[in-house]
Amino acid sequence: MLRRYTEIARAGFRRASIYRLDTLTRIFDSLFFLLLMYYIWSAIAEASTLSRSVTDIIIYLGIARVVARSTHADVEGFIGERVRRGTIVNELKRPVSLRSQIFFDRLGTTAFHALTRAVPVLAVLMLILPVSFPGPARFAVFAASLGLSFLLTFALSYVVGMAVFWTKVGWSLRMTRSLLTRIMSGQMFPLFLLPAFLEPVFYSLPFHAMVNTPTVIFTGGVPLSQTPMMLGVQAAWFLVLGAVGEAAWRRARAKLTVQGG
Amino acid sequence: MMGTVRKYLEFYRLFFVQYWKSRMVYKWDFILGFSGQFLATAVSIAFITLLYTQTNSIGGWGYYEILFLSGFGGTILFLHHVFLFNIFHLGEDFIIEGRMDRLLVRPLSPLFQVYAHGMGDDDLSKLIVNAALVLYVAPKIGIALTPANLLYGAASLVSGVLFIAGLYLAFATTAFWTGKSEAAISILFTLSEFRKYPYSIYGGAVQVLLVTLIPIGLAILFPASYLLGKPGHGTLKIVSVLLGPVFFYLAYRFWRFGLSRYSSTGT
Repeated sequence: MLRRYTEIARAGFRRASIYRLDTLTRIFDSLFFLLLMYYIWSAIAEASTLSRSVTDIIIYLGIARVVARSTHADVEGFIGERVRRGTIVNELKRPVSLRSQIFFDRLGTTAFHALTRAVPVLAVLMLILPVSFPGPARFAVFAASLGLSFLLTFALSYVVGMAVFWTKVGWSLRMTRSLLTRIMSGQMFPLFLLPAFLEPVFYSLPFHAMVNTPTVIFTGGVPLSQTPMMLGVQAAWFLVLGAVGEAAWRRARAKLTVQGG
Repeated sequence: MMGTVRKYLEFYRLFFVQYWKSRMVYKWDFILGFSGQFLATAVSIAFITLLYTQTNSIGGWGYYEILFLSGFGGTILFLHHVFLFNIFHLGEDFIIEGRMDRLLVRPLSPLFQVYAHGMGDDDLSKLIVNAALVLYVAPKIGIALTPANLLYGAASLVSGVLFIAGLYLAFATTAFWTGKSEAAISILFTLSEFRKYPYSIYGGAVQVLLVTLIPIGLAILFPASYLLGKPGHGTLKIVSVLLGPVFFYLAYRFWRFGLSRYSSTGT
């Protein structure tokens, strides 16, 4: 049974590795984003007093980028492509549930992206900025949190992906989800700078648990004693979104139409 | 001359109608794409608003001034994307697939045909929102509708779109050698974020880049700072609205050169 899953994950990994040029442009994209953020926050620091240094802000945004790149999951695209071509029947015929097939396929793809898009950015970041790499205990908590982030991102993407069975198109749904994630999760704006009146909004939604949580664990923004609570919040959101996804799948299966049959 | 223009307009109309017919087959694709892109602009404005919870000046520019810049640049960029974005697919859809051959045997400019083949309709909502943003913000920061401003505004719009068109065309043309245009142009997506903030906040190397290879400074940043009455770069502000056509012409020469090297894939 386990071998089936590793086979699917390996196929996802290999498929992602075809797009070599993509790897380069994504690294370039991340580094230019950080450069732009550096200019913006330096200009802000010149005019106003910030509660944190520009270096702290850029390290946070850099690690947030690394986290986001290593927990990326695109279920909408996977389903959209297959629903439109009608080949989703192939996945449905197999003796492994659709959810497991998508999960392990995306796990493989994401592992490839983590190695090729996130690790190089982390390396550059550590070369040019005083990033303090976490000690073993903190790193272990970070790794666990990163894993939960992937589960959480996958679960949200799965919920949205189920809508593709109705709309037949995936890319715009994925874009909508990732836009909301980007602004709410800490990827664009460090959540430690949020004004007090906005904190309840950002922290009562699941997005902060996807990027901000692993990021502050890595950068040492929280004491270790607080981290079990944070991992608990991640796990709770995963359970909620997982349940919603399961309910959505039941309804999708009931109305499933296969195009072009 | 007028006859040629009329012929092209007529062909554009035919392409246009045909495009929308096939587009409307996937109605949901259009509707969701349209609203998704709308959200993209909303998120971009939300980000600027979050930045201004920390300060009231970025490079000496206030909140509404940055919003104006954002809307002004967005109007130029998305005017280009709505009508001329199809050049993005030059390598993947036209050269590799061999569709270029078909364009070459017709008595119409091949570049016109590539452009007319598709519309960036997903960006239609971005164009509308950005234009609305300009109209909403301009009176708040006292940009008067004087004849000089109107004339300058119109010239900067034309020149800006031609700058962006030249830039995309030049990057796409490399596909005649590499067979790929999408990856090259995706670099421009990243770099065009520089259009949203004042020229003065960037370091020397980026500043040079923005007035030479990637002339977003000339296309957007200087014209916007002229309209806002910002100090500095007096000559560049005037000259920049005249240079767009020149830049596009140079890119067009490069395209002609690339086209002359084109050999069919034989498919």
